[in-house]
Amino acid sequence: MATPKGSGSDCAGRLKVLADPTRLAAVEMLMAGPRRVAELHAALDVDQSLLSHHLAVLREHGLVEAERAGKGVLYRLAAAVRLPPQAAAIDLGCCRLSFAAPPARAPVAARPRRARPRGRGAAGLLALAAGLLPVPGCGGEAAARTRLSVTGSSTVAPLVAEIARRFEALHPEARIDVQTGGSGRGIADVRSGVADLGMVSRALRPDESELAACTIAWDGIALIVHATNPVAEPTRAQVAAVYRGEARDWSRLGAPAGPITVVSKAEGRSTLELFLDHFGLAAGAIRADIVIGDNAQGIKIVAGNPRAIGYVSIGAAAVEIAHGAPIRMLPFDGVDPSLAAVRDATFPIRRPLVLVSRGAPEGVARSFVAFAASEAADDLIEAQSFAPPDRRAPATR
Amino acid sequence: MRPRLADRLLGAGTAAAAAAAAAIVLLIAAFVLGESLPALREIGAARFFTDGGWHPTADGFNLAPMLLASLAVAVGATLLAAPVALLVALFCAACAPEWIANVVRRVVELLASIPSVVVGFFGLVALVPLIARLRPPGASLLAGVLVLALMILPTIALLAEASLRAVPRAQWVAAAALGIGRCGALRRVVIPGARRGLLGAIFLGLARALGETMAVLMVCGNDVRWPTDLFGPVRPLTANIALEMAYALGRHRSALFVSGLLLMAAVTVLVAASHARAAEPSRA
Repeated sequence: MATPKGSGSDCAGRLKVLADPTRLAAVEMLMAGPRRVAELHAALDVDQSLLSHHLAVLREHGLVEAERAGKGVLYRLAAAVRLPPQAAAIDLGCCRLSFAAPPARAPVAARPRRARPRGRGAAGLLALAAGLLPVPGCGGEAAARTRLSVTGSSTVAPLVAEIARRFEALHPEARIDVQTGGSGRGIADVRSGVADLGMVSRALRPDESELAACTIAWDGIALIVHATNPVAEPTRAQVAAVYRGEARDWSRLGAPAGPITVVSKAEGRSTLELFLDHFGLAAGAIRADIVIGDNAQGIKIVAGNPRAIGYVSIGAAAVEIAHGAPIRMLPFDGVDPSLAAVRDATFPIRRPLVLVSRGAPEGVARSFVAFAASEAADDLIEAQSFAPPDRRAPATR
Repeated sequence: MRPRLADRLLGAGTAAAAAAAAAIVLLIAAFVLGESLPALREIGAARFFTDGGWHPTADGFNLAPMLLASLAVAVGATLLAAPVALLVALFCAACAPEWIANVVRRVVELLASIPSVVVGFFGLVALVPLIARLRPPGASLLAGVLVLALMILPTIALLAEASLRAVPRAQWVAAAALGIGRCGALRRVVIPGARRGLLGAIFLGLARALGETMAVLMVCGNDVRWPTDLFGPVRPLTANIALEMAYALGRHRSALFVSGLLLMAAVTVLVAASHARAAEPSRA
């Protein structure tokens, strides 16, 4: 038997192994990038033990690779069969298995609608139309529309851009265009219809209630000081006095005397707005020594100055502390700042990261919002140092 | 006789490139002006110098402290860097053996090619804590001056050296033939001959210091106040734009373009001044 390339028997074995709806659906999901078992389980309508069996078979035949990642196991396509995600196909050596997008979507992923072999000599090209995966969350199924424009908060944008990349890989017909310009622009663009979705890094105000909002993650803000600073938990009034320039010495906060270096954020940042809101300060009332743009800069400054105090995103601070930065987050209202405390709302200074739309989202916008609000985005949210929302989703492990 | 094809092509090609370069400058200026117009019209040019402070979201638009901060940081850095840079240039051009001059030149070129963000980072983690130990908060006018001096020193040194070398060899030889010593020759012959180039080098360093953004953003503290205290924080205009542009909307955004316009005006005045100075009779 003539085989153009690769090992023929191996290829046939792999095709045989793939002749199962669950395995096909799993492989299709993995084409978009690595997935956790929990994610696969959430998307595929099969029992966990059965899924484990299928994944084991795929692994034995060199189609997928497994890797321990934190609490779970991360599956990815084996390097030998992987093709660029835009190809929407895998390489089996003797032939390629292509997952072309169907015009209409099947309701359940694990049940491919039609398999249409297109013979081309010994190496046949198998075009297979597999359905898309429904996800739990803010939305549900969607009709076809391909372009989606998203504008708004630059805090949310990197996260949404990552989620969009993953979404596009799963839905090759979708093109998502993410642009930044602040929460205000996100709201303005959605109102005027320039953008389909807006990214907003705060809760919607009462005069914005006509917009539909879906929280995709939470961010919290904590006060930070140098690790050697022994100051205990400051009261709300003390913090306000420090930032108004009324308390200029650490002795006012019960710490060893020394001038306070006050680090604040630049005008226009929503972190600043949240901070001002929470401590009842006016923008013009702040008397800072150092004004910073982003969290990393604030952390560097506080790490280099034992007498400095600043406020930054909890996630960013936690990452830097884990990497050995000599800073300390101050407790507030008796709660230690952490992403977990942000997630379950026990830490008070927090803000939602929100996708807004004019009325309920439709079409691709709807499935994208649903995707962004589902567990499928959890690892991306954590990678950006935000807290995923409390989903109370059915436990998968 | 008609000029050759190659010559005509050369003429047309260089003219096109020159026109493109000039057009780009004009386009940028027009764009910045266009973007600042809404603010200039709504807020009025005067308020950018008379308002109570810079609180763009609370209707305060005073840019004057930042303009002065920009000038203070740049002029301070130039005063610090220029003498050292000129001495380095003299050393390379007149005093050092050729191979040592070459080594020094390479090192200075290397210093010139360090990205500003790296210099700024060095300032943030090394210089600022050091100054903070002297007098907090550390991020200050002084830190900005020191970091910028480090950045413009190689610019000035390399340009100054090139202009010293451009003095015809015959003049050096003639001075030596008249029995003037090396020091005298430098003072009376070479430096006056290279005056235009040396001034140009210093002004270019000053302009670079004015326009530098990343490094000053990282070490200056960025609190908007008058540059009255060497150890106090300041916010130069460039840092103001970099800090707030990503988040600015409407009038705030337009006001930031006014910052840019002001900066361009300052640099234009500088360049014009350097030409005026250089055009003065330098040799009898």
